[in-house]
Amino acid sequence: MTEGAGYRGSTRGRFTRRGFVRGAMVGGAGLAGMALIGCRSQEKPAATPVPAKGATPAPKAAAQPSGEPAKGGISRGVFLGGNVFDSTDVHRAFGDPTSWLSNYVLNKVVRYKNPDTGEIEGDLAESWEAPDAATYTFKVRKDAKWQDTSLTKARQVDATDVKWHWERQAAGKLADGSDTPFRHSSFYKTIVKIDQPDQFTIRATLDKPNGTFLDRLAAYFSTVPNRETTVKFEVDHRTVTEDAMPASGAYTLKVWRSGEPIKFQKNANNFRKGEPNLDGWVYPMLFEDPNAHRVAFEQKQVDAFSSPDPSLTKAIIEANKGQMWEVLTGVANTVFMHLNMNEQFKDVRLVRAMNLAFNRRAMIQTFHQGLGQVSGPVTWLQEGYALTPDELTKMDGYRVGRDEELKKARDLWTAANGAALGEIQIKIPDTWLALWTDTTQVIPEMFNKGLGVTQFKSSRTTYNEEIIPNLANGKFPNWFGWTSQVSGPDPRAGLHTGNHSKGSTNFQKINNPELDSLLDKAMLTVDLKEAVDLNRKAQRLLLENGHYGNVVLYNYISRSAGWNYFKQNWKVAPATGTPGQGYNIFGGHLAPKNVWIDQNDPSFKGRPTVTL
Amino acid sequence: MARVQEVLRIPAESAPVVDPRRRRSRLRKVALLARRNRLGAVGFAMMLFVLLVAVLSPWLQRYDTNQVFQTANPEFNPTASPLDIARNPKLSAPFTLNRWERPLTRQHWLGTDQFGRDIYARIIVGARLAVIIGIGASLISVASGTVTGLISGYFGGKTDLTIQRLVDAIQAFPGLVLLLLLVSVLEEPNLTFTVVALGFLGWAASTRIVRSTVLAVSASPFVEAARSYGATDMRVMLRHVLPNVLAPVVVIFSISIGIYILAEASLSFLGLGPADQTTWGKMVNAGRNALDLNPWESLFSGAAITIAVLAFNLAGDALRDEMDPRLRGR
Repeated sequence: MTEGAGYRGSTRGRFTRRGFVRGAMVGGAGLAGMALIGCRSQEKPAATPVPAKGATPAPKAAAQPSGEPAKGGISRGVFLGGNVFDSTDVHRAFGDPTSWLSNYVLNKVVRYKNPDTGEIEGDLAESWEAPDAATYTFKVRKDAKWQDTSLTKARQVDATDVKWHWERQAAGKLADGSDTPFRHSSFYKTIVKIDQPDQFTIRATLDKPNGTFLDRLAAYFSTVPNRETTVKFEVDHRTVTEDAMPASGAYTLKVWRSGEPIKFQKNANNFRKGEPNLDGWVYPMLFEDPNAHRVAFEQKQVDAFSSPDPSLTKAIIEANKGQMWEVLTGVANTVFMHLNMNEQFKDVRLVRAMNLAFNRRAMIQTFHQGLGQVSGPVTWLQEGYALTPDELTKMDGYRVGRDEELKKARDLWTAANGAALGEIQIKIPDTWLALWTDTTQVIPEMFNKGLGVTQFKSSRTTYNEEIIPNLANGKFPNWFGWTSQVSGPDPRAGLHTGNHSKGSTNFQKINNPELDSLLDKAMLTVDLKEAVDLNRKAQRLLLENGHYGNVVLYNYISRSAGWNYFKQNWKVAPATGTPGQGYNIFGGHLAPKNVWIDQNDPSFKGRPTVTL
Repeated sequence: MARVQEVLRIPAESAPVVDPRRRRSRLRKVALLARRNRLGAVGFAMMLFVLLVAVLSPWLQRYDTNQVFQTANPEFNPTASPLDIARNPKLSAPFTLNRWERPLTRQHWLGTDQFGRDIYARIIVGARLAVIIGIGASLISVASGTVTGLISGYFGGKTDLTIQRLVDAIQAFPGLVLLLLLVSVLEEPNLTFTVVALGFLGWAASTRIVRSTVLAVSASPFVEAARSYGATDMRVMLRHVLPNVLAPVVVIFSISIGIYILAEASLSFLGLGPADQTTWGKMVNAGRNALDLNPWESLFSGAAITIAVLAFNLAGDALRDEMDPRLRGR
């Protein structure tokens, strides 16, 4: 307690008001200090940059044969709210951060050449054949090796690794035979037969043709981990350690420990010669506080910045004209509201009412200053499959006329006796609250006003302590925030896994035979037009049922800024006066090829030295 | 013995009947006190102001704290592509928020925040919450501290030893860390819990202060006298000791209010205050992310915290001066 010092002093000597007030002041200062300390890294902060003469000397960049500067350096970045890992096991992680991290360290069987268009190229597979959509044969490349550890002994990556990767997830069992939830088990269960004709060839036979098979293998969560290590860490899979994820890809994990900066180091044995450009990355465990992030960015302690308030990013770019780039990116982490239909929201009319009462466009204004667009069950990032904006604006929850929406919502709420639900908590993850503090007021206010009730409340929650551990058992809280990012341009598999009665992420226990049939048929077809039609029919069914509690709200557009010396992973590079475009769908695996620090750029001057 | 009874007992019929002349003399006394301790008078005036604002907030706030002010947006196009929206965010909604409006306008005296809400209304409502938390936590800590301090100091021995070691244990733990722990682990930070947690942490300090005063009072001749004529421990504690330790209790209570307001602001600033309430600490936090673009929210809410804490501290200070005969008149 802040007054403690004052009180203690008074008992030793005399109780004086001065001592008391002094104690309070010291306590107050302590609190303020605590607030600041709370925003800082435990890592020793880098030196404050000083201009010109005192600037940290940059190592002289060696010139490429072509005359271009050497592409290297170590980048310091920030993954806002993302340094929270629920598992080191990529198969068992339900949160995205582990998958995100694994894309720098591991490989997939195939990968997206361009995540937004869905063009696929080999990753661990150097080639593949698919005579029909039910049989896929992959030739695994021979030059990929595991990072040298006591368990891997730098052995080659081969088809056995891929076989284990598929079989383990399909079985949903640990090495000791115990059952455990695997996020993508329902997908891998569709592989009914796996043949391995030789060490580097593997063939998957699916239960039926699947037009999305390669997409799933290219998704960010499909990285292939090392089997010996994963098995060894099965029991301790929640304790983060670099030992739990030996690399086969562009970077090795130098440090991955709780409370410490994550450090990636260039993997000298990467099979893609010449990659990665960057010698390493440092992701400090700080900046839950966007204000601290901003200050660090202005001091060049981190290389890029994106404020939750896009106008602030704009202001910083304006203040540093000519030294920074601006990039606009659709955020694949979709904003959702999850209403638990296993517990409080058992009546589908209630979730329909909530879907109607949520004012999507108002929230886009409130949190993102208009930078965003409403999304249906398939988000606008997956444009080819999404319902057209014209159609969407005629559906419940998406109409422009709010009065009509709210009247319908109130009628449904009353008909389903919503009042009987008592207090309804819509929880907000702490990582969201770190960016938009007042969400706990804004969300209940919207529902209470919209539905004409007073029963909505809101409080803080966490992904790792309350949401993720309770997904599989169906006891998750009602919550609003980000849900797993869109993994690729084809939404069929994701929609199937989350909404099919046998889907492994069907946490709402949806059981609609008509929906099942549509989702199954959409997965089977290799005719794109038919797939889109079936998928849209499934979306309409979901919309009629209030998304069955997994209420898709919107996707926002992030405005990010970076110092010009920091060459990033862009879909469309920024030019003077024109913002660039980032990949809307996660393209972290492309970073080794595209990201580097240009030490010859004038903006590099004054950047503190970064070491691994 | 009769004399002792006369000294110690306050007869019921002695309840004051205030005649106008006496009231006038009291007002004169207050005026004299104010002249003698000008800073204290300012503190009391400020405290009264804060209390008045808190009590009258429903009539003073002008707008609902969550009312969002917005302007119709003719550029809205519900079917605009995200790429078009990226170029012109006005396409995305039928209105735009009146965010970050400057202060001193007829509609928004203190401007608007990032969500287009009236800062003045939020500060007024924040005052009510600050006072509830300050007074509530002080009441809990002082009331519970008085009971345990009284028992500890009066009975001494093993009772005293046990209670004081418990007090030592709580005081040895950094207060803010314990508070953060309580608020973040045990319970969702709602208003009731915040008040109880703050009150609990203040209990140890209150106990210690009350105990030390009880030790001094217990050794007084009139307590000895009460014991000697056979009064029970309970009677001695309640009728003879307690009235004589009330002065420091009142002072602790008044000064603690400011400290608890500050502590709650710190918790809210760290995101651990009552989640669904408008608090000054939360406003400081929300506003600081864009201090250079719109300093008003942080500035005004910070000023409100300063005024409230200063008011209760100065008032408590003045009370202390007046109640302690050694400091009276300094």
